[in-house]
Amino acid sequence: MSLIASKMGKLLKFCLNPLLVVLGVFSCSQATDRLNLFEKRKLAEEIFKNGSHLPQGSPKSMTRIEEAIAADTTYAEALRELSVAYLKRGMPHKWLPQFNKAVRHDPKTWVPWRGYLYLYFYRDYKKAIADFNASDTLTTHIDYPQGHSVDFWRGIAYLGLKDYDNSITYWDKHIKKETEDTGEDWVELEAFLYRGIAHYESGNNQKAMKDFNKAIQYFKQTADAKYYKAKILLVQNKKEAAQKMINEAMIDFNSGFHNNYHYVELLRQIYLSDIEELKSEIMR
Amino acid sequence: MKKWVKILLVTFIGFIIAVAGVLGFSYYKYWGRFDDDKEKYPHYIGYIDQENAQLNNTHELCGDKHIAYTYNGAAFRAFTGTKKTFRNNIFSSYQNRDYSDSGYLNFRFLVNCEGQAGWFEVIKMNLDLEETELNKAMVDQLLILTSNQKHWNKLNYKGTPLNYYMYVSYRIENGEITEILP
Repeated sequence: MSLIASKMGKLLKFCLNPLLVVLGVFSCSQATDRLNLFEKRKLAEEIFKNGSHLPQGSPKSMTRIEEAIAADTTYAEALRELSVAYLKRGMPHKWLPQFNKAVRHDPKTWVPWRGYLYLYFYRDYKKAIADFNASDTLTTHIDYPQGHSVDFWRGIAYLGLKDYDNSITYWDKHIKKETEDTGEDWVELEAFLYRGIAHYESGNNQKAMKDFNKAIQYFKQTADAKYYKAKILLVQNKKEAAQKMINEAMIDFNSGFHNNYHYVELLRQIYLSDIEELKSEIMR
Repeated sequence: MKKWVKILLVTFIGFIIAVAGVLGFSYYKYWGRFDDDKEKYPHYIGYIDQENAQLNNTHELCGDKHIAYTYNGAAFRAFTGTKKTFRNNIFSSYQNRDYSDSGYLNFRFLVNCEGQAGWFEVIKMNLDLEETELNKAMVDQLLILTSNQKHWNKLNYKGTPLNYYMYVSYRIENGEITEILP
């Protein structure tokens, strides 16, 4: 092991030697040809991780990632990282072909991730679902791209399609599994919120209310669940309770407890104006 | 020169050299030693070529012309009111004049410290995110709507006015806007 490390260390220093680069005496790709697959991956990881502090999308960062890929052209993590700045900066025509290179070399990891990105960044619900479904056969376990299960993401994607039956089916599956694994109090707020919205939009206020109550019970501060609960209370002509609930929703919203994400607007995201409009309606 | 002055001077110079050495080493370790392929990456990803952008001669960038929020656009900060306000304004103004195109239409642009939008780069794609042509009249209409100053906030950082980067993506199906992103 130490022999390999030493060999790679020397090779890395050699590859990165500015004098050799300037003179064009020896290319890194020629040098890496001497390594076996394991050594190539180790070298690629070292190059990749050594520059992980460089600003994403900067010329130095992009060049560093390219160097890692040159060391190991199958290194999916680096292939994926090369795509990220394009994704975040609104250049999907450059993001997708690059991201697909990572998918080609590590579909088990990056197919469900692509599904999540199709869902959040492009609102392409069908392509997202296709990737989540593909992940079911790619691995024997449930995948958790971006920290949530593919069932969680399918619940959102089917809600986007207004396919409430499928949305609720996946939320049921997700919530059941999470409850069995860790307990109901560990289930994400969004799971109760979005299943509640699916019930609400499909006209089942009773089941919707149960979910919004669960969200409020476990998370206390949630403008979204309280907003929807106030809507149902208004329909039920319980104006006093609706008024109390919408006031609480406004407090939570102004304290920052509402469903939102830095990069993109979320599905069914509410705004202060939504709360104000509902409040006016209740007060009428 | 008195001995104590010499000692003080030598100590001071030594200290300066040590600090410069540490700073130089840190610069090299965290920045200087990394190459950049100027040919392939002459600018950061998302850089807008102001010379070739559309609507590049209507307004002026402010101050030193530095662009803020190049990481992922100014996003929710940029909209006058909220994203919901922007969406409502676009939906109420946009007219599908028998367009049948489907795809994504992305506008990447700059907003100056007066909240004036310009320097637009236009990316036209199909629904598979591949570059393609989209109906010119539809693109032009959405460019006019998107560049309207009423949509964009004047932003500042601790009182200093900012020029900033922003992008808007329209998902269009059969000439109808189905989503406005991000």
